[in-house]
Amino acid sequence: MFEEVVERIRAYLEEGLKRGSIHEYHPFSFKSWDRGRDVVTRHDLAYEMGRQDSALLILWGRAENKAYISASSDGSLAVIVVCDVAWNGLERYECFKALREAFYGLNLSGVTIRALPSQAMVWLRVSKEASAKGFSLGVFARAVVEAMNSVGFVRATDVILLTSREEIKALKDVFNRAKKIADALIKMHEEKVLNCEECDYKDVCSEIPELKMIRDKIVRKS
Amino acid sequence: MSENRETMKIAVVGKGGVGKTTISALLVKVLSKKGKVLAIDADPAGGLSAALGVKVEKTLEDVRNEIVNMIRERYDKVEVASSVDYKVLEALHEHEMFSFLAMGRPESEGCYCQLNSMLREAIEFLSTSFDYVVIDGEAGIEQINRRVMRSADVLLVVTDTTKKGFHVANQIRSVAEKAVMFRRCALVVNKVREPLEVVSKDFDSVFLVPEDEVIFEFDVEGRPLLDINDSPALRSVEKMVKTLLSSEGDLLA
Repeated sequence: MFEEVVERIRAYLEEGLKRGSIHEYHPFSFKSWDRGRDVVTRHDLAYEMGRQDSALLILWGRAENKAYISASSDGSLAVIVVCDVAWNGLERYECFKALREAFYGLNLSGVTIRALPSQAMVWLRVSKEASAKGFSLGVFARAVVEAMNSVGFVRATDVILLTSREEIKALKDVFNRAKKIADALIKMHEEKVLNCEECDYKDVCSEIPELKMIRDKIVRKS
Repeated sequence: MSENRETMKIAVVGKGGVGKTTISALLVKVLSKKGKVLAIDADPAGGLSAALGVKVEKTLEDVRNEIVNMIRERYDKVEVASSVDYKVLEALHEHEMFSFLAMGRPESEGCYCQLNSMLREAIEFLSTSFDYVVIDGEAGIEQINRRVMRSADVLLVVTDTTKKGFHVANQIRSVAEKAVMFRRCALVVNKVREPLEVVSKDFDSVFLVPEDEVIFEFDVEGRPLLDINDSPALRSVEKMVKTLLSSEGDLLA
């Protein structure tokens, strides 16, 4: 379903790695971080990333427990999570929901992670205390990998953290495409009667074979 | 937030025109010297923002409406919960001395009990990051209880020196007794012009705040009360805070 999107992201990563604008890491080389729900307010804030200039994608595809992080940052943040899923009859929509819940359920001590699913936005606030104790994007990547890998059917997770407006802009079409596919998947499962002729997602449902199959199955059932 | 300290939640209620917002703003000013303060304007009239010099860009009612529209398009519990947390934090105005949330005027029709609970939980959770929460409410506490928080540590019922004011204060006190959880309920007699003795067995304490020319001037000029350096009312509120903190310390011990 997300093959094309993941391939385009991987191609972008390859270029970044060659140029040295993106670095590859083993996430487990970063320290493990305590879980905990905290709201970081201005008084305790070391730095924040994302919000307006942000993107969040949770996808499935080939992954090998790696982290890719931009070399420089201007406060923007795109979080791309790619999970290698053992399907074994697992429904795409069930998988999507489980992965999303694993990410949204991630809470780290001294850090506030907020996601706005409808706009694929993400917002990270890091406290002075967490920063002083060594919290970094690498630590965040490790925490995301651990959270996603804790889902029973996930074999491995790659986390890509892009931290400049330029990088987000360069992948804008890819983000839009991925969001449209995910939205189409949700819509198909939440609408009792599909009116494909008048649907905004007609294009992706016709192009992506897996979406087409799911749509046909739902139409046959109704 | 200061370590090993519980958040102290103070709800300020009272009849319209008695000076709730003034008392709330002065409380924010005094408490902000002692710790992290979250000021919540729960009065639909929205006077606390002006008293604190805050320009409100987004209210919790705006957040509620955005989420209601989202639900109309598509309901997904996980998405709604995540969006509520995001948008409540987004609505938080972070001033150098305090943080501020405006509840806004309830407008949308229909009952979204689950959403209202989510919003209230998000506010309650946000408040745990602060040392003090000051809620400027409407006349009664029921609306605070429904929209903002389930409980308060201190309920401050504000009245002026009129007989009607005292009568309403007593009514608020008796309704609050049945409706809300609070640990201490104090009466604040505001705009006191001459020596006054108030005895009330219904309230744990009584505080007198004098009528204050400085406040009047600031109000007329539309200047934020935070800019007051010294005034009789401010000194009274400082005393009030000292008493509340020492007695609350006893309660928490």
